[in-house]
Amino acid sequence: MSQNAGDVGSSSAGRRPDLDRRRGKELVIGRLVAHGRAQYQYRSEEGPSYYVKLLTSSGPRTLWGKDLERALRDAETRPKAGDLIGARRQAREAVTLTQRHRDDTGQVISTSERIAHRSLWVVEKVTYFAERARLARRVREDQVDAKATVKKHPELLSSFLSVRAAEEFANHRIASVADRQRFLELIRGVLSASIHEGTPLPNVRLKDRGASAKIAPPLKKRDDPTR
Amino acid sequence: MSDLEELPSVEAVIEDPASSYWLKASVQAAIQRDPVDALNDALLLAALLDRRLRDVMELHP
Repeated sequence: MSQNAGDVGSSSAGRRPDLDRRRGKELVIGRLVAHGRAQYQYRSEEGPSYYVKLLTSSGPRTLWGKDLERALRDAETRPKAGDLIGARRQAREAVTLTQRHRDDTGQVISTSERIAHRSLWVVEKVTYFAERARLARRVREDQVDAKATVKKHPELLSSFLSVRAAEEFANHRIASVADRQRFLELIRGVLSASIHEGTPLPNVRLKDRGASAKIAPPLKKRDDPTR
Repeated sequence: MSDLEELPSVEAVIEDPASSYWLKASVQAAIQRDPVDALNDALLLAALLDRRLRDVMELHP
């Protein structure tokens, strides 16, 4: 049976390392030594998995998880052996695992299914996480220079639009100024944390941009199709 | 499979043209020392550099 468990628990010098460890979202930093497919924990009775070997400041460390293969393949910064990389579990998804029951000779005599959680990883060169941390701060901070920031970092447009939409909502629906501020701080915090953790930023379609800018829809002529 | 299996040897690091001068000098100095003291210092150095990287790049949560 494949466990897909990731390795957590290395030391971290962050301001909230214990909290991050508990959440399993600590950023593991190390030199990429090797990666590849193998039976989970190199045990023959386990299912196929994927390993990433790192040399961290506290010694060698091996991360396990099927999603590590996708994370490395899809990585923007294309990490390779010898690079200083960061790895972070960004989410978990429910998966159905097939458990194989064997007899004394190792023959599979029955199977059963159970729900487990698979970790989704972000694995990038360490500079990627520094840039994301910087972008996260931009979103968390006030919107004064939003236009200039979006011009420089178009990938942040959707995040700024989300904040703007939240502001519109709060202005119309939340009467108390204090509650409004708390709500907006919460929204900025969530978006900022998402960027910080390396979650891919969604692309914004022109339709969304138009809707956010409150551009009035063009008047339809009588003969225009309704859709 | 050992976690240290893929690590290059001391000689390979020293002879590797891709290794930095700082790393080569450090390795050459370290292998002259008592191995316990050298590793103890190196682990502290690695932890300090890890913290410095997180500070400089603001990688804290």
